[in-house]
Amino acid sequence: MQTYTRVFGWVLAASLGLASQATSATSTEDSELSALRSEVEAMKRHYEERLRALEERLEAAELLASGGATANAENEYIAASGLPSVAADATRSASAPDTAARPEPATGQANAFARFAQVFNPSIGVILQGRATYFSDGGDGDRGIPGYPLGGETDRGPKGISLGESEVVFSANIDDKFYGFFDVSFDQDEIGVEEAYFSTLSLPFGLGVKGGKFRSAIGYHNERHSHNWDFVDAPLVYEAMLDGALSDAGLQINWVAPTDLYLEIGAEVFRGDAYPAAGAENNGFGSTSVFAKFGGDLDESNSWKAGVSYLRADSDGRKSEFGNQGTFSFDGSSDLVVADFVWKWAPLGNFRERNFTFQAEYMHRHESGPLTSGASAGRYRSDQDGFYVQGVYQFMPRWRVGARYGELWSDDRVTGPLPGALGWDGSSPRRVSAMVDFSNSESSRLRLQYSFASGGLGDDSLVYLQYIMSLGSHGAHTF
Amino acid sequence: MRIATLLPLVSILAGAAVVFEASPAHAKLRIFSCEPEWAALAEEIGGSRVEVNSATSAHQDVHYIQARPSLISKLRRADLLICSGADLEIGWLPALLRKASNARVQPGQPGHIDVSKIVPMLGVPSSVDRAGGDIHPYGNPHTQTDPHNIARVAAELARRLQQIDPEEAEFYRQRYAEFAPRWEKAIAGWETRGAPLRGMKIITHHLAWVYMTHWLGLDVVGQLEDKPGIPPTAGHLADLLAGLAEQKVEVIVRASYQSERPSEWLSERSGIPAVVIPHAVGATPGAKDLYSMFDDMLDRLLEARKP
Repeated sequence: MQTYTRVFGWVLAASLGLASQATSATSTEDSELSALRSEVEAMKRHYEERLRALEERLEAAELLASGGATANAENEYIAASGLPSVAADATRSASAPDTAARPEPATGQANAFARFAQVFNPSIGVILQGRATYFSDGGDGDRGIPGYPLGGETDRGPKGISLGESEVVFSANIDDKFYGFFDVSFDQDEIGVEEAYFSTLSLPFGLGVKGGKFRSAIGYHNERHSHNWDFVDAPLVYEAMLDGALSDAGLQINWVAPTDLYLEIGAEVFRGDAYPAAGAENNGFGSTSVFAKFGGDLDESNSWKAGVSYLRADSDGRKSEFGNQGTFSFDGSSDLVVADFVWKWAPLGNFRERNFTFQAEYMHRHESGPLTSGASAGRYRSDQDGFYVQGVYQFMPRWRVGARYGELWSDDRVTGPLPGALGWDGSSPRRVSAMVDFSNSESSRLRLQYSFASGGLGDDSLVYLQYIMSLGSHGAHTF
Repeated sequence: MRIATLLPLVSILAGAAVVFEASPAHAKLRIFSCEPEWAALAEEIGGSRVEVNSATSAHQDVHYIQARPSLISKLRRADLLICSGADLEIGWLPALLRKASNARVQPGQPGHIDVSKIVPMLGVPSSVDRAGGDIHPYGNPHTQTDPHNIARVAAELARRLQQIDPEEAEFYRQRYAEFAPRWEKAIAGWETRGAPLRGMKIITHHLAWVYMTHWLGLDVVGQLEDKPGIPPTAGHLADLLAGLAEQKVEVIVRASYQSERPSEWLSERSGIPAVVIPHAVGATPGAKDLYSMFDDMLDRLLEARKP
């Protein structure tokens, strides 16, 4: 800017000089000439003064806009000691977002790029996922879990090569009060909105509100998208009791306590279209939940988080397919309690080199209500329990190994004309998994996983080879 | 549970929030710093009026921090946040800011200081292609290794403290008025001591030293990381070693949070000393505060230069 005004000044002075020469050539009278000269001189002085004033104003504006970045230390010293700069700063903070306050970067080209990147809003991320799968039983994706009326998402995916959940994610601060997030996923068979919500950024008292379609905050694993999972598939208990994960249209309110120990409590109400609810019961307020989360650091190397959650879901016509036995429809209620615990270790808190994560969740579900299949109707009551434990160890940068074990119990009581309808034979379904993955950078990951499923799951070996690649905006390192 | 039962629950929640919040205001200003060097600076300027927490230590790679519950708790109550910016904390700070629901420290507020918007940035790439590794589109974020940048941030910090805590404005003004000339004098001392280092050829582990090398006029001839953020590979190290014959490299520099193995490997085979240079307060036993951090930085570089 300063250079521009200076150049402009030179051009002006030069043209004025030319003009004066031209005048001298055409005029013969000395007095006229000197009068003109002094006039031109006066004009030059006038313009130079105005230019200098303009430059000074520009300099002052730049100093304010950049928080004194372009000034030398002496100027800063003066500026910080006097109150006027503080007042100017207040207006800047109030009116201009931080992006406006950047000093000019070093080079012209880089300069243009940085400005472009800053105005680029919202940030966009693309996640590519795919896998090759081998099932030892040779069957395809459909599979039941004895004793569990499942949702529609619980199949183990197609055998062979298939596209996994590839996602496009848009997110940004909408303004100073709201944040928005939109995530649409594409897999082998379908396109779906994973999440589409807004949340508040600056409500008073540490309160937060989230609205739209989002993952419920119950449990630990529920809020994690599949590209952040430590294994190819969700834990068995999540598949059995939450159809993978609970995501529904709803409203959440939460509060973070102003305490040293992390404490967050919250409540949610959902439309009730998503498993374990169905049919948007209670006038479209079909499911409600409450949750509490705690956490902290034991020392520099060890951190933990624990939570308890409760979900109540009412169903109107929840459909579950059961192999050759046909489709069952459930019209009752589900009560689900989840307890979760996570512990993370990294030497001196440096996750880069080595780290270990231990994670466990326990769920208890009680369901009761009418169950119908075709013309037959009965009453269904169950108390079901399940858990998983897992450990993932990064033993050197980029390489991780992990193991997981999950098990379920059921206590199905179907009365009426449908005895034994859900195929429960007293066994406890279980699955043990082991994986190794390699992340060339934070944006790419390749994984090999072996699982063995038994206890009514058909003594089946499953082998997965998976890729997860992310393009564009940087994902969050959530705890 | 129906809506009717949810409503009282929500009101209890809101009630609890108000009660907790109404508890007597903390006398000191709470400062949340992403890195230890800005925490040290906040203590220099804020003195007894502030309580400073650093989210990370000098032994942690700041890029790889997780949005831990304890950090959410700390940010929840902070009056002022100060971070290096330029995407260094991109993996965790945005998540913390959303989770902490603290209006005082959101971007654009007086309580939010982004250092990369105060100091002139180096290493702004002309294009961002992740094939080049973990590139920071806003420039190299490791700005604290040039003491002139510390001076710039100190001025802004003093201004913001005066703005947030106007009752104590005179206190911060005085602290700053004492700090600024003292720091300028210290810089002059370091620059005199560092003059013989000009032109010294060094290899660094990560692209984290451009501000220091720019300041002292060092010549960086290679990185242990082939691409920024991607761990050194055996092949790249072997290439570096082969190229060392022609260059008179005098020291291999790494930060305290980086694995010693790649630099020790190269040091053993080349005979060039591998040295930890303090990049932050607490990185070496000598780097106890901002002054001793730069003292130690120069001590170690000068030591490595000795024949």
